Amino acid sequence: MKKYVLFFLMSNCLLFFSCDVKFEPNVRVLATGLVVDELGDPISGAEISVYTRRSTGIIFAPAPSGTNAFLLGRNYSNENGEFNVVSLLDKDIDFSIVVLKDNNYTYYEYATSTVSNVPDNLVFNLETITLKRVGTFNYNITRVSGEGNSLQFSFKFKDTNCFEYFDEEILVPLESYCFENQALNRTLGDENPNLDGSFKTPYGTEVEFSYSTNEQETITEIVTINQDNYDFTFNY
Amino acid sequence: MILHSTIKHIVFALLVVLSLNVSAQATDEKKLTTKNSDTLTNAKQRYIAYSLGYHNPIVSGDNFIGNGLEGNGGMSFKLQIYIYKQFFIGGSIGSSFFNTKNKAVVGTYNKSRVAEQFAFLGYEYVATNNFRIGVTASVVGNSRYKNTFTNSARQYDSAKLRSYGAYLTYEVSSQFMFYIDYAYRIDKTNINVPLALENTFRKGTFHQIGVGLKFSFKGKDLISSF
Repeated sequence: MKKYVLFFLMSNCLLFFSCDVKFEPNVRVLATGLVVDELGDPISGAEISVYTRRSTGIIFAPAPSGTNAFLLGRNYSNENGEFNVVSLLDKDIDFSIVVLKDNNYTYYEYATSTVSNVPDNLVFNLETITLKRVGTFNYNITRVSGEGNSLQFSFKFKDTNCFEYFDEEILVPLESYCFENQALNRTLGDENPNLDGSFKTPYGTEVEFSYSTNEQETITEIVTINQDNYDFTFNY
Repeated sequence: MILHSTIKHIVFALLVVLSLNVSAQATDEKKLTTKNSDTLTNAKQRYIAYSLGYHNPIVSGDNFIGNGLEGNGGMSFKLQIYIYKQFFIGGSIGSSFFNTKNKAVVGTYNKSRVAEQFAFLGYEYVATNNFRIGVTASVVGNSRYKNTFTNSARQYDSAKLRSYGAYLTYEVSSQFMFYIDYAYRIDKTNINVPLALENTFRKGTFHQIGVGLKFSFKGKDLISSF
C-alpha cells in the first residue's frame, strides 16, 4: 500500500510541478557585449538578464511564464555601453539573454538551446546590440462630416521587439524576427465614428496610414517617426 | 596568495617554536620553572576532546566570496585526539551561511550554505591552570556550496579547502571548557569559468571568529598509552 501512495505522490509531483530544480553545478558563464542606440552612441544602464525556462507554464514547471523565478544572472551596461553578466548555467532548450533599457527603447532577446550547445569558452558574446529609441504614435480620428459617412483605415508600422534564435552560435533566421511589420485595421461609421489610441514604433521607421472614406479610392500618407511623441490627428 | 603563504609560514613557525618548547621542557627537567610548566602540562594532558561552536564568517579578499557574499553565521563540530603530548590531529564538520550581497558578481541566487569538512593538525600550549592556546592547520578538506534561489531552485559548487586557525580555551572544570577561536579559510574552487572570471572564482577567502563549548577527557596521549 505504501508503494502505491508513494507512486501516486511522485507521479503528481512530476506531472504538475517540478519539486526541485537544479542548475548546472560548478559552472559560471559570461554574457558580454555592447549596447548602442540607432545612432551608434553607447547606452549606459541597460539591463541585461539571463533567463532559463521562461516559456514554461505553471503546470509542468514551477515558474509561471514571464516571472523571474529562473533569472540566472543580471547586470547593467556601463557608461561605454559595455556589459559583462556573470550567470549560472542551466541546460535547457529555452535559454535566453534579454537586453532592455526602458520603455523608450526597443527590446532585444538572444535565445538558444544549451542542452547540447554551450560555448567552449563559456562566453555568450552578443557583440553589438542596437536598441533603437522608441516613439509613441498618438492618433486621434474624428468624424466631422456628419452621420452616414464611414472610414476604413489602417496603420502599418514596425514593432519594437527583436528576437534572435541561435543554434551553435549561428543565427537561425526562420526562428528569429526583428521589428516585424504590424498592422492596425479599423472601420469607423455611425456606431463608432471616432477613435483614438497609441502605439510604439522605433525611431527612424515609417508609419503608413491608408484610408478610404465611404469606400472610395484609398489614399496613403507616410509619417517618419523621429520624436518621442508624435500626435496624429485626422478628420473625415 | 601572499597572505596564504604568510599564514602557512606563521603556523609552521608557531608549531616549530612550540615543539621546541616541548623539547626544551623534556630535556631540561632540572630547571624549576620548566619543571613547574612540565608538571602543569602533564597534569593537564588530555586524550581526546570535542567541541561544538558557533562562528561568524567575515568575507575577505578580491574574490567571489569577498565581493559577492556576506557572512550570516555558522556552526561546527570538531574532534581532536592528542597524538603526542599536546600535538593533536582532528576532524571538523560544519556549515557556514552567507547571503548574496552582489548578484552581479556571483549570479542571482540569494544565499549560500557552505558545508565543510576537513582534517587538521595542531598543537596546544597549556599556558596557565585555566587557559590553553592552540593552533591548527588543515591537511585535507573540502566544501560544498548550496546556492539557493527564492523558490525550490538551487545550484551547487564545490571546493578544496584550507583552514588555518588559533584558539583560546578557558577551563571551567577538568572536562568542560569555553573557547573562542579564529580561522582563516581558503577555498580553492572546482568552478569552471571563462578566462575573464578566473581570478574571481579560482578561490574564495573568509575569516571565521567563533565561540563554543569544548569537552575533553583526561588521559595519556595516544603514543604514550601504548
